[in-house]
Amino acid sequence: MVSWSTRGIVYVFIERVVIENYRCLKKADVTFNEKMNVIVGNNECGKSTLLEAIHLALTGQLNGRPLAIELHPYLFNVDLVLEYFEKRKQGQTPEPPRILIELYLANDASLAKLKGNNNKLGLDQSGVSLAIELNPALAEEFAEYVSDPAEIQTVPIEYYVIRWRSFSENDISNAREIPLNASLIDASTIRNNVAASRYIVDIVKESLSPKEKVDLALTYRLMKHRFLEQPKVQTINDALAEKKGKISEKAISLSLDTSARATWEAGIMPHLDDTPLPLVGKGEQNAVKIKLAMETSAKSNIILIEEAENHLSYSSLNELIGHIAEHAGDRQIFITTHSSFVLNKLGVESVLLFKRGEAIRLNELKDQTTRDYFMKLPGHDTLRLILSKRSILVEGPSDELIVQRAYHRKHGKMPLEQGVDVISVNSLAFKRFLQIAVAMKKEVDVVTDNDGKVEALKTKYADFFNSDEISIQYDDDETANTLEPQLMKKNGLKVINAVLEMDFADEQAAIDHMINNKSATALKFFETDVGWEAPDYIGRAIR
Amino acid sequence: MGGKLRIISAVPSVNRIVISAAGGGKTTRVVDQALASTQGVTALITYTRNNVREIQLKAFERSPAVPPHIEVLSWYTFLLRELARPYRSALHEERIHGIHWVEGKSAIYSAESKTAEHYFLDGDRIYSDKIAKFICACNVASGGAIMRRLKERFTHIIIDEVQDMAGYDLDVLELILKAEIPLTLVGDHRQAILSTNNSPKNKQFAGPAIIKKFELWQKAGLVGIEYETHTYRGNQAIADLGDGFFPKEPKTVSKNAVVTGHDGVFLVASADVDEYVKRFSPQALRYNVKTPCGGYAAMNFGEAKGLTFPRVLIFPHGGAKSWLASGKLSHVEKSATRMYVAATRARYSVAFVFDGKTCAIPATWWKP
Repeated sequence: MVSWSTRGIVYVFIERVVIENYRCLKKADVTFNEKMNVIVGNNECGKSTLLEAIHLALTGQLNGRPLAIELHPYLFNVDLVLEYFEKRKQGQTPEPPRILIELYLANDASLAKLKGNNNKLGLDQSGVSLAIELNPALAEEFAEYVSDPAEIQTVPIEYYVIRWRSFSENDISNAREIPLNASLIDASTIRNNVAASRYIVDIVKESLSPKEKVDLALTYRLMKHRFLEQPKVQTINDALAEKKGKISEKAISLSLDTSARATWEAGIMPHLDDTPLPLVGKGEQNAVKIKLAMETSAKSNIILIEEAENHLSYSSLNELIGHIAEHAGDRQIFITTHSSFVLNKLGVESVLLFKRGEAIRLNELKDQTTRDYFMKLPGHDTLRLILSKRSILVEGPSDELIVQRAYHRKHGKMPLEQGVDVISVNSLAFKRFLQIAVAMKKEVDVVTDNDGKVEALKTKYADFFNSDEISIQYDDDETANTLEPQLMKKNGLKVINAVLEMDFADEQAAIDHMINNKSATALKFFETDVGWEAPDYIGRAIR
Repeated sequence: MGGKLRIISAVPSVNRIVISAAGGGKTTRVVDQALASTQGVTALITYTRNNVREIQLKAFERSPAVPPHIEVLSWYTFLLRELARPYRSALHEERIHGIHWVEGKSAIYSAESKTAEHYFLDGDRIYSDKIAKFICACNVASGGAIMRRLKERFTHIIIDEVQDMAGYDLDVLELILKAEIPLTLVGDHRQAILSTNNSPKNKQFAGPAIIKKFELWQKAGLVGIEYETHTYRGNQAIADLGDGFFPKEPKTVSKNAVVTGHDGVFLVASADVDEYVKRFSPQALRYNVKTPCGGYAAMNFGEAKGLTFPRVLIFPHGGAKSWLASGKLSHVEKSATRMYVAATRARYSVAFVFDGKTCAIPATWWKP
């Protein structure tokens, strides 16, 4: 129960978000952790959009301004809009494009005002919903507008209306009706120095008591008046007064703007160790903003941080992340990142793997052993799998070299340059990686030896043969049981001798040598200028 | 221990009905009670928007702004926002956009089973006489979700002017009582002039008969009834005049002992009205617009509800004249609530314009 003196600090959190047709998120349904949420995923996977949508539904603001002002056709999911007009061209009558963002809040008596079951999932829960939909009052005009689908390809937002409501289906007219305060920290949106200072001043302002604000305003005005009383300024003004009649019929004097427009906020520049903020490095600015927001927004229950690692050196990042972890308190934090470091530091258990609207939490993986495995594993390899467009899992460093080089020979570029990560995985861990890949819908090729037992291999990967995401690449020929005989089979003794710069008389001797000098052999293949071909099963993986 | 065995309820109900005499400072007390609460959110609900305003003004006397732990709502806003909308999907597909006001009975030929037609105009505006009925049905359909939510929403609900509740409103109140949401109902059935709706439901408890419903609730252990018998407005003679219309109710005790030299209940002949008005400047009151009042700017009894004047001059309608002459309450049976309101507006004096020869009530003839 919350007494009114402490109202405003309500320990509540966002349990789940459902999004439809908002920017790149055509459909999203994400369940969050109560405290820390580290959101990782590819570029363009919609991480930023997810944060933006949450912030929008909580505050009604986009880019720091009311949504009504910022509304534009490209807020609608491009695919959906195309689909809509395509269907209309074919003479169908699809439902007009509609954006929906629903925030499901943890049930707490202090949020009962927002409670009801008017939400997409039909849950009896507190929450808010923000919809951008066709205004029924303008339905006829809309119909006329879209009557010639050949002509138009964007959503006519003029005929749209924003509906911001609680799950109890009452209109929300002011963000203060939602007893959750959100701060969005996105360094990338602050492009110029004025905006940066402004941003800091806003945050500082939030931390001041009304009396401190009044004191500051009065002092500032007083200082301006004092300026005029300075003898030198007066002398100048006296001199100017003598010019009366020459320039104007009225007396000219210098003064400072003391109108309401010229408030202290506009005239004050935040300093960091005596350096004006705009002159401080971008990374540092960013760190300051994040820390300030965490320090001063005692009332914020929700903090959304966009790519904290931006512009920061490793040590600064280390310090900043430590700060975030330490000062999070009871607040719910959302942080997007590309940095495996951030992820490790904030704990793998708080990670949400996000991809175009779908997210899995590592702590929700069904298989307990897989979960534990990744919780214990330093996050790096997991993150590689998640962040890559596509991965090729191989059995060891030799295979990795061969696959890398084969890829380069085929595409003229290293795989990583094209977003393909070749990851060397302990053979026991294959299945664990694959479980994540399936959950994340990640395209993964497994390149494996048949070890002379094709049936055993088929049994081992039985769960994944029908998967859309996973391809198990191996060769059926049990006589060529590992990489080395496979290379020989594909290239013949002549090429192999050339690559190895050796002169083996028969294939078996060469194979024996290669097996006994696995790493050296792989390096030879990696570095040679001799043209060699990858075995077919590898060829399929590097397609 | 000796004495008689008494059966008392093991857990006394936290719900109360406070019947407060006219001029008893009811609104003030309601506001003070809400301000005093420190736990959660208190809802202060009253029937009309004017009452809402009155409550807000009272609150401003005590605090610069209505604090956030108090929400002042009109009855219909409360019904719509807090009860009808949140779970309407259990009965109805569309959002309830608003309320369609009906004077009489809405959609009388539509069956209850046809939800959209029975309750709604154009599918999204709920009929004012059926919104409470909808809530009752919706609470059942949603498995009691409406009341569960309400219990989380408010730690205390105070409803002022409860005597105006009618029809299914009483069923909604009963739901709240049974949901064990601390509820305080404040009002005075003797002033039951307005009515939230004209539904045939609960007709037997319409007007001042609402007290019978309260008594049934008390019997069922849902609520305790208390009488506030003090008045700070009229003097004792005026209080007695008002009590006269409801002889079975507890007697009102006046706390106003101010003596002005013209105090109590008077009779003024038509011929002397000009002089009386000149001398005392009373507020003229009439039963309704049809009552002749010699060209004086008079206010209808009903409109005067909640208001206080130093002195009033009442132009009686036919029934009231007969009552003055005979003292028989049967003449004012139907207008008893209005007569009670008219009689209890003044602090110092109530005068009736009366040309009869004899008067059966305790009143002094006034002569210039």
